[in-house]
Amino acid sequence: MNPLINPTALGVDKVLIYIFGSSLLLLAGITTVMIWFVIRYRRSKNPEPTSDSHGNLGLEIIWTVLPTLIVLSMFWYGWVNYKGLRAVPQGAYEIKATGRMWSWQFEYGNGRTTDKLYVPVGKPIKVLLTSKDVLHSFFMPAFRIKRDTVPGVDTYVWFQAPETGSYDIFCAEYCGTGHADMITTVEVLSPEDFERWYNENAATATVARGRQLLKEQGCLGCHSFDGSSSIAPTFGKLKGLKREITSEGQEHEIQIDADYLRRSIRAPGADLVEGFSPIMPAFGDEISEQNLDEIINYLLEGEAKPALDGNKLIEENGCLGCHSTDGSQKVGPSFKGLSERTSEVKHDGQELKVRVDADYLRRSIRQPKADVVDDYPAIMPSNDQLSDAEVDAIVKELLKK
Amino acid sequence: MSHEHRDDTGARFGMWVFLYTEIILFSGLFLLYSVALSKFPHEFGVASHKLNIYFGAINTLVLLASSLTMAMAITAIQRGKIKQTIVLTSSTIGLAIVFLINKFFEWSAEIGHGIYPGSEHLAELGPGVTQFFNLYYFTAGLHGFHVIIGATLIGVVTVLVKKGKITPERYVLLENSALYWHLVDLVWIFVFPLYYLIL
Amino acid sequence: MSESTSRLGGFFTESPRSGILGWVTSTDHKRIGLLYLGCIVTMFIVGACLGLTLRLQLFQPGHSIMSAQTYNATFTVHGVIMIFLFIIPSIPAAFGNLVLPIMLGARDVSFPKVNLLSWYCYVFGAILAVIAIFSGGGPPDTGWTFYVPFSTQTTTNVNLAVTAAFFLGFSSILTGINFVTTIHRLRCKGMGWGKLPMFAWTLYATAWVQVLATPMLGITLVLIFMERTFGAGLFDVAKGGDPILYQHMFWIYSHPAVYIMILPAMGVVSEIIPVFSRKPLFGYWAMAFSSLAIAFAGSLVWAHHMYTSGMSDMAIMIFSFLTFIVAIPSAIKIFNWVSTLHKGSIQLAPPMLYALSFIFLFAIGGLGGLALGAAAADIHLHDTAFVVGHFHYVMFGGTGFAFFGALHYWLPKFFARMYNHKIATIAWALIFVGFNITYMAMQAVGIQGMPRRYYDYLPEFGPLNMVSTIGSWILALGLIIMFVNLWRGIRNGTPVGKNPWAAATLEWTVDTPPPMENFGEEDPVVTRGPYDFKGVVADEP
Ligand code: HEA
Ligand code: HEA
Ligand code: CUA
Ligand SMILES: [Cu+2]
Repeated sequence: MNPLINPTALGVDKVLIYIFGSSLLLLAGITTVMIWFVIRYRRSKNPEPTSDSHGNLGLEIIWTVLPTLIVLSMFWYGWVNYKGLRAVPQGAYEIKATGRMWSWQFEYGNGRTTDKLYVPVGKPIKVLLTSKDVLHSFFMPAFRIKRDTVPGVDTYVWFQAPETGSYDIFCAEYCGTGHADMITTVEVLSPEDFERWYNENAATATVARGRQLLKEQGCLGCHSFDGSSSIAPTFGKLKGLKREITSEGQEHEIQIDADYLRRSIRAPGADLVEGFSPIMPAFGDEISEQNLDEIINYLLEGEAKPALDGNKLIEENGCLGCHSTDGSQKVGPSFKGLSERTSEVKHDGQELKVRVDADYLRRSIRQPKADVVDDYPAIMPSNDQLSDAEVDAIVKELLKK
Repeated sequence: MSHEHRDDTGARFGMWVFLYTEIILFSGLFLLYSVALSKFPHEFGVASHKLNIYFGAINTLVLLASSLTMAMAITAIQRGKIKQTIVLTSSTIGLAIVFLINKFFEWSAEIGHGIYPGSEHLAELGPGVTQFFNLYYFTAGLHGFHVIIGATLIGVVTVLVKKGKITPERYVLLENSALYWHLVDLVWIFVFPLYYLIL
Repeated sequence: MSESTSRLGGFFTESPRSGILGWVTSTDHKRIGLLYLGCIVTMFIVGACLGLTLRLQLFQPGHSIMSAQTYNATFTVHGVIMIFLFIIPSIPAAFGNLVLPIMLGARDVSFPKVNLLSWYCYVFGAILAVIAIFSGGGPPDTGWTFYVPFSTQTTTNVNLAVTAAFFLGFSSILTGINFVTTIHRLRCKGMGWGKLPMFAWTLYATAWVQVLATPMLGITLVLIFMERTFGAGLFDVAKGGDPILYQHMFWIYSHPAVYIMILPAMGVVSEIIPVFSRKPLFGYWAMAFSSLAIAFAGSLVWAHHMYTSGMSDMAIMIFSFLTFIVAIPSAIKIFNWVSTLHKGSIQLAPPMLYALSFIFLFAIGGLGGLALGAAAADIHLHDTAFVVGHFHYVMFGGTGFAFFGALHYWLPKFFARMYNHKIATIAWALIFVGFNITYMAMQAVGIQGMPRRYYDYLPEFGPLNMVSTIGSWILALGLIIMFVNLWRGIRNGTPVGKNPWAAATLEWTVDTPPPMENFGEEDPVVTRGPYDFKGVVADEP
């Protein structure tokens, strides 16, 4: 347990203290009476029983009613404070958490994903929970919160950290071999640090942010990225595309560029794309100049693919839940010195010696059950969520280790 | 045992208690059924139309008839008509076999259509239908298993009647096997409408 | 066994068949009781040694005597053995069979053959469980709760394990049916419901729970089996199923099961305390009805194991409320036991020591249960070592201690020999101290936030885990001494007569060891209450 003072912990601790406290009193009372009777009426001192009472209705009633009142108070107190754990304060900051064998993945508003939970200090945080495979349970002792993650079901917890620091996150629902290794931490950062952390490696950040703005401004209500919407022209990598437009009544063809886009947002009526009706509202200062630039830049460039970072992928996809990088034994073989290793594997039935190379690694990521290294359980999940490019990036990194 | 103690009421009582346990065993499946039904009312309707109602109806009649023969067997033995008792119990077994054969054809037909727990075809039909057929197969399967047990039990009883171990004075075993058989019947009386007739 | 018992008379020698065959084919309730007792004690020792290895693994962080997989298998097998093979049958099947019919003045249970059948089901289940450990994909690693979806995915030997549990459940049902019928039909002349010993009352309540709850376990286990063989997806969200539903079905049995475990233990304690304080049981009817109340209310609280599972808050409120209601009858019992001591003439014989420590330990465990029953508190405590501490307190400190008390109380009756009291007292002291060190530390580390089913843990949980492990060694030492002492006692302790404790229930009026059929030619007639000790004297050893 952790001395940290925070809303959820306070609620739970009140109940714990009340119940443990009154239980202690009851226990002490009962025990002392029992021991006193045993001493006072021991055979050597009291050779014959001095009463043969069969019972006493009055007493029975008393010790039926009193406990009833006591337990009901406990129930009520526990229930009231439980509701506090479910009532998320206004404007809580939302983060998605996904449990999977055997690691956590956290996803933030800008699409960034991490294996540790980063949160700003003093702000209520709502963690949206789900699972990819079996049951897990998101448990933060310091905040006294816990909730199972169930595949295909969404649920949540909330908490608020009043001071910066690092606190444990456990998986509390048994989920197989790596259950005890499914540990990570929540890093509580000062608002500035969090802002900095949140916006670092701008590439992904702003691109995603452009899209974010389009969503916030409701553009995606009419425009789509895949041509699925017939109300308005389709987005996507627009730079240099030709468009048939009518401005001041006369048709002509233009090449899409920044000015054109700026105009179509600030004054949509000005030029109208063929085959669409003039329904787009004009956007004035609800979009700041700087935001507008980001939107336009995004519309022109589309999703700019950032270079894949193998190490980041390894981290985010929870490989480290089972594989160490320092040569220590975990659920799976360590990554250390992979490149110059020949491992003895079981390949459909027969024992083989394989030189670890790119193909081998690619295979073990795609079909982990194909060859299983001796003395390790065949439990690695096949990582279908990875694109081939991502797998290659990971393999490249692994061979460096 | 020197003191051969006999307590027919006790035996009957024990049997009733055992029947409670059977009911709870099935109630587990009916619980799942009700939850799934409230989740997929429409799909359940669709799925239940895939079942062949004639098989179900015939089997219902068969079981009702078999319960009747079993009840008659008791009156027969009470009247001391051993021969008749044997005929009646045997015909109950016969009907049980008819039921099972019927079920066999029904199932092979459905499995022929690629409808069985875990089949791809079911997967294509969507979650609601899948649940319906999973429960249908497990419930009907468990019930079929009980039919087999019941029939065997009655078979044993028949032999004992032949051997004169079960007499007009002492026929509680016959009564209990009849009770068991009525339960098997009763369960089917629930299964039939729930799976074949709903909506 | 036959060799060691050849010197004994009674039901040991009078038997249609002789030798081992005479035992495994006997329908005599005492022989079946002893068969059960033998198996159950063996199973306890096996399970307990597994428990000891669990503690060794947790002695300190990092250092490990076993891999994660081995640890998971170990606590699963430990749990399955302790629950299904030790504690559920422990008192009802062993001592219920031994003494219940005699207490009622009956010559046997209602269905002796069914009784034997239930023992065979037990043995068959036990054998399957053992095979499950040593065959196929390796020992099951799901925990004794077999939660889906994990239990339907793991490659380990879950199918055999659930089949084993299924047969054990069936055995338990048969015993239940037998006891209900026996208590209704076979009470001798004069044995009205008001003269029923409390042990019979609790067995009666237990039997109903066994009969009405166990089938739900049966069907649930069958469904797991089906899931694993057909992959039907009954509990798979993608296929329209619901994993939470599995948890409901599992606990609909497994919570009432915890009262199957504790009620007979309460019965044993209610027998021992009056005898060793020479005073009638205080509040007989309150005790009788609180037993029934526990059985009834206990069947309605299952979902208090699922506060964090994602079920609706409404459900949480209702089940939390009901959970607290169950605590009341238990409280009533505690107070009545304590009042029974008042103005008695108390003798701290070994059975009494276990009975009194039962009250203390069960109170701790039960009060811990209250913390778990409170919605807010359980959110923090759920699936931590605190839960593990809680149920070891109630199961081992409660039922376990009552079981040991019963051994010390009734074994002399059936083996006609008395163990050494001094050694028994020393063993008790070691067990009591060791127990509290082990599980107090476990509860404390749970409150700190250490999750259960962890083969390794963060350093901050180190000290308390070490304490707990050291406690388990004291506990083990005590248990070994206790078993050795009892064993030597029944082999060559001092002979005892009909009634070494001067108890008033019927089993102490028949010869030691009791004869086949228990009573001579004519059936007994009861005139005095079970706790009416006037003129009852212990025979001199
Ligand atoms: C013998 C078995 C046994 C018994 C008797 C009990 C008794 C109780 N149990 Fe326990 N329990 C288990 C075995 C048992 N339990 C097991 C095995 C688990 C874990 C399963 C698993 O997950 O593996 C568990 C888990 C468990 C949970 C779930 C915890 C979690 O996983 O989050 C809860 C929650 O409510 C609970 C509550 C209770 C309560 C309220 C009682 C009550 O019946 C207790 C009543 C007793 C008392 C209240 C004390 C005596 C009375 C007094 C001292 C007088 C004074 C008292 C008052 C005035 C109230 N138990
Ligand atoms: C009645 C039931 C019962 C009993 C008596 C015990 C007894 C013990 N249990 Fe167990 N336990 C459970 C039921 C029980 N347990 C259950 C249900 C679980 C949950 C499993 C799960 O999570 O699925 C569990 C889980 C469990 C855990 C948690 C695992 C985890 O979650 O990580 C631990 C850890 O310490 C533990 C330890 C022990 C210990 C040290 C004992 C000690 O009491 C053991 C003491 C005894 C000995 C050390 C043996 C002494 C030696 C002998 C008696 C031999 C003498 C022989 C002769 C003389 C011939 N148990
Ligand atoms: Cu994930 Cu335990
Ligand atoms: Cu419970």
